[in-house]
Amino acid sequence: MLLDICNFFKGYILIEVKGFSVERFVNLATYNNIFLWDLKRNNNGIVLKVSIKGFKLLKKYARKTGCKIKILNKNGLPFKIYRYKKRKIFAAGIIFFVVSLYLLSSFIWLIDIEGNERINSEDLLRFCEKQNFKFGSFKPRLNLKLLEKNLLNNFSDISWINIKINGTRAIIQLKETIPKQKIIDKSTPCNIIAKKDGLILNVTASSGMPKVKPKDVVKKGDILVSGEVVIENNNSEINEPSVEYVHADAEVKAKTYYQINFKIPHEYTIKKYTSKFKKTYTFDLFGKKFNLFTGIKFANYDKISAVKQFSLTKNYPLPIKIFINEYREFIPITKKRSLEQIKDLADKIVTGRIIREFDFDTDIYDKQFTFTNEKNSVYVKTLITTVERIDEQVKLE
Amino acid sequence: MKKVSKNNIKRKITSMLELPKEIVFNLPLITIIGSEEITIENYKGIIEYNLERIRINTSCGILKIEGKKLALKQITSENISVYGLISNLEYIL
Repeated sequence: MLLDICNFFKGYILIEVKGFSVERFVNLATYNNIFLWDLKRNNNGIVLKVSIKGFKLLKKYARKTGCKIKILNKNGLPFKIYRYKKRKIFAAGIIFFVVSLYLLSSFIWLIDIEGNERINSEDLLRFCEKQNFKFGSFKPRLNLKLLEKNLLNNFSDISWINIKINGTRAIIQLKETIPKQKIIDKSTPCNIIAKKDGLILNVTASSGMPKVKPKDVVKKGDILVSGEVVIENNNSEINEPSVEYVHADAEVKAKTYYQINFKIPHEYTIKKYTSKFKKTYTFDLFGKKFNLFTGIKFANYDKISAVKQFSLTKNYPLPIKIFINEYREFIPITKKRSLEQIKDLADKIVTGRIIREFDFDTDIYDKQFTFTNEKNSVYVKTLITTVERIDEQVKLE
Repeated sequence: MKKVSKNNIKRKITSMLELPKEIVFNLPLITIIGSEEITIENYKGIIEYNLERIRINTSCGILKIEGKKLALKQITSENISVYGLISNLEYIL
């Protein structure tokens, strides 16, 4: 097996030797150090294999012994190369392939960021782009150590960073710092004021003088708990009360009111999809886009897009992307809402806004809807009663 | 007479020192693997070769190999290896 591979690379010739005394020819050849193998007798001569170099010497001995040599087959790499010698473009293609593979693999075609939670990936990428580290950067020109240092200096939330290049993929691995705890300075005296209008439900003060009691109505900015503590002196000699300034701390809960107003139109459209759809493909080569199919004839359609990036292996993404756009045709159908539907929808909208806009520890006490009919829509007025903390610390001068 | 005695001494020395005989006396070394392959080292030349019979000249006579589908796997100036179904091996002195 191993010998066969060796012979393939060297190249060998299969010949047939005919003549009166083939044995003599074989003896003479071997005596002169020509290596012959796989000799086999056939009906009128011997078929054997000989190396290219040996074959040139064989002719002499064949003449001497009166044998005739006939070439049956030429095998091996040297003959293959000889056959392809004239195909210059083919050879150029092989070289072009190797060179282009090498060149393309020396650029960065994908940047991944791992380990960021608070830092925005786009901010990181934008900063990297300013430092010439981006899609299509030439690998040997990169100074990763400097970039790491700049990133560390620019983003204070990064505690550790490492940029790794795997093939054509760059991976930025980072660890974020632990978020800083807010330090409360208990030594500075302060008041607690209301940050919203409301009806006080309860006051729990751990330090300071409460100025309000439940069922009081307060306005924004009113002092709820004062840091100014007056200690009355029972001592008869000094009748003046002494004043002490403390860091007021309290939890004040109050009923607050919010209004959410919006319009709901009477009519609404739903999409009825027809079974027609069309797919278009857009190729992205080195950032340049090539549209393959265009022309959407649908009046109304939904577009669903997907991007696919080609890669040799996981670590060798190529600068070729395909954008697949799927267009689905639909027919808009206009329908009218009933009162029940409007109520349901209003409730849904309000609940959604509460979840999005209100604090997590705000309790919803009550929701009241008022519906007013207008020309094309219904005007919805919502009064929301909530229970929440309204205390805010303000430094005392 | 003189030659014989010289040969005898040589033989005694080699057996005493356990020297390889095939080198000292220039004898062929024949290795047979099962009945399918024979390698002959230190041969002199081929006298006859066909599919049923091969005769090889060695320093101690002609070696005749008989069998079926005999082929010469490789030949160099020192050794020759025969491949095929070997049935008979004989020295013709």
